[in-house]
Amino acid sequence: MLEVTDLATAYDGITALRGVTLRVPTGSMVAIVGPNGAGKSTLLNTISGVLRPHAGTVRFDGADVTRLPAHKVARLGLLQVPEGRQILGPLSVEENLLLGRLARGARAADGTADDLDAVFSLFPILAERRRQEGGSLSGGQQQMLAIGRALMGRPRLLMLDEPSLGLSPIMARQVFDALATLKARGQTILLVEQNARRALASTDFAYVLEQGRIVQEGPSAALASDPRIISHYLPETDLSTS
Amino acid sequence: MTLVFQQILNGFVVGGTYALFALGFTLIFGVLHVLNLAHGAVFMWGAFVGLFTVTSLGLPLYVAFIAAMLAAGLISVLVDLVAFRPLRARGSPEFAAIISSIGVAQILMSLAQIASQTQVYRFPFGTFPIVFYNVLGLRISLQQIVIVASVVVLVALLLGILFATSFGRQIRAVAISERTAALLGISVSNIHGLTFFISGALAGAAGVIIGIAFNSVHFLMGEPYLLRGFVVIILGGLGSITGALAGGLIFGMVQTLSIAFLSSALSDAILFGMMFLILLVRPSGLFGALHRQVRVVRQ
Ligand SMILES: Nc1ncnc2c1ncn2[C@@H]1O[C@H](COP(=O)(O)OP(=O)(O)O)[C@@H](O)[C@H]1O
Ligand SMILES: [Mg+2]
Repeated sequence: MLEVTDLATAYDGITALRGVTLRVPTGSMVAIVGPNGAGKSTLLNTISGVLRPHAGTVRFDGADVTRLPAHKVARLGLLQVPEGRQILGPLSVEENLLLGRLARGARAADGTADDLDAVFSLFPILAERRRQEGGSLSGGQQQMLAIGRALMGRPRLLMLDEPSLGLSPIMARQVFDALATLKARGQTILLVEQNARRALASTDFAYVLEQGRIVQEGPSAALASDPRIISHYLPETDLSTS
Repeated sequence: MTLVFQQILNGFVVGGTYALFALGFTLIFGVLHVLNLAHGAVFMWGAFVGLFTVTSLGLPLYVAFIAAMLAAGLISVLVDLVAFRPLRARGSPEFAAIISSIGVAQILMSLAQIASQTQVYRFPFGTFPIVFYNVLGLRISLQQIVIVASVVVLVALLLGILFATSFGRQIRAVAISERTAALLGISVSNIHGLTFFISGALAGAAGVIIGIAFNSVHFLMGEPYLLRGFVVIILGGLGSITGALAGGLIFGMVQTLSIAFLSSALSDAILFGMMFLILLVRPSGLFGALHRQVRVVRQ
């Protein structure tokens, strides 16, 4: 479904991605793990069309989307839940969700009410808070809103940038449970995470990104038992939070 | 005492027209975070289109009103395309956009000067019936009633668009974060265009109203309004819709009262003094923090 080939991106001449190649097959859940500053957000933003790569290609369902503007990428169903959730704070929960519906574009114009119900049944707290300002929600609730907002656009590929960042362990678990539910329904997912333990536990395949390069890849279960990965990314302290 | 109330009433009507002008001005600031210094020229062109619709085409005033709104809306979109979009595409600083909008304003005024042969035009006698009513000892003209009614309708329309339609949601989303809006599938440049259209249409309506109220349309008429609009939105808080409304009304009343009871020479000094005072004690404007949900400015 998604094929990224030799992608390279720079900020004002400072290279952040150095030839990244990866693929996300339809129906799979793929993880990208790596330390802070590795280029994970840069990678998602380049795929989304927020950043322009200076080399490489992004193909989505066979079509070249490399230099498409962000809103057109979104309308193809390649949707990103950005780092830090980016809730539109002064808008209500419901307004945030309704905006998410725009990405659906011409793909399927009907059934708003159904989609709202689907999001509310996945995240019941959003139904209770639907008239509140998005900015008044807790961090975990905002993450649910951000995911729900993307789901309103009926993503064909859902990309999430560190959805557990800054969340309490309980909230993080709820978010990961929701992702597992979506995966079980056949949703294709690309998950970026610093919390490698959780990411490897919930995905099929994973890439390790370091300093803008893919340094390792393989089935998530295999990476989770790789001694090198364990020593770098799965420290003991992580156990207490997962 | 009746005289005071009469002047307050007059000030309220004048203030309504300032508010109409300032709403479009503040809307662009709220959404794009730039000052559109061509707003006065767009307003002036709205007045001319309204005038020519009546004088050259012989059409009724309400048609002129709609024509002026559409034309000024389109001119405003043109201002976006010429003065703002190329700079945004290059990521130029906001200061550059201010300068280029001054440039476009000069071009628009020169064109109007040529088209009008530097003359002052008037709406033909009888365009608006001159009728007065006596209410509780106050003299109210039909014109004043229609002005206030149009302002109320247009403000209601604006609020309706902003807060009860999908377009309005998209405008507010772009105002808060362009990147997030784009990730949601919103075409930020289309929303900018729409914002300029709405802003220009409001200016066009204000142009016709003021052209009739003061019975004078000329190529320089936008300049004093730009300056006043600037004071109004600083009073009310840059980017604040309620602020523009309240600021316009306050400005109109203070101006009318100081002209009536002090002197017309002093009125500008008082108004700009008020602006300095606000900038000193409450730089975010009177309504800065109070009306966060109505405010369209980036957080
Ligand atoms: N807007 C930016 N301007 C300049 N450099 C940036 C910008 N955003 C990120 N970087 C740099 O690019 C590299 C990758 O950052 P990022 O993609 O955010 O990493 P990650 O998401 O993996 O933490 C880092 O070295 C970071 O400092
Ligand atoms: Mg990141």
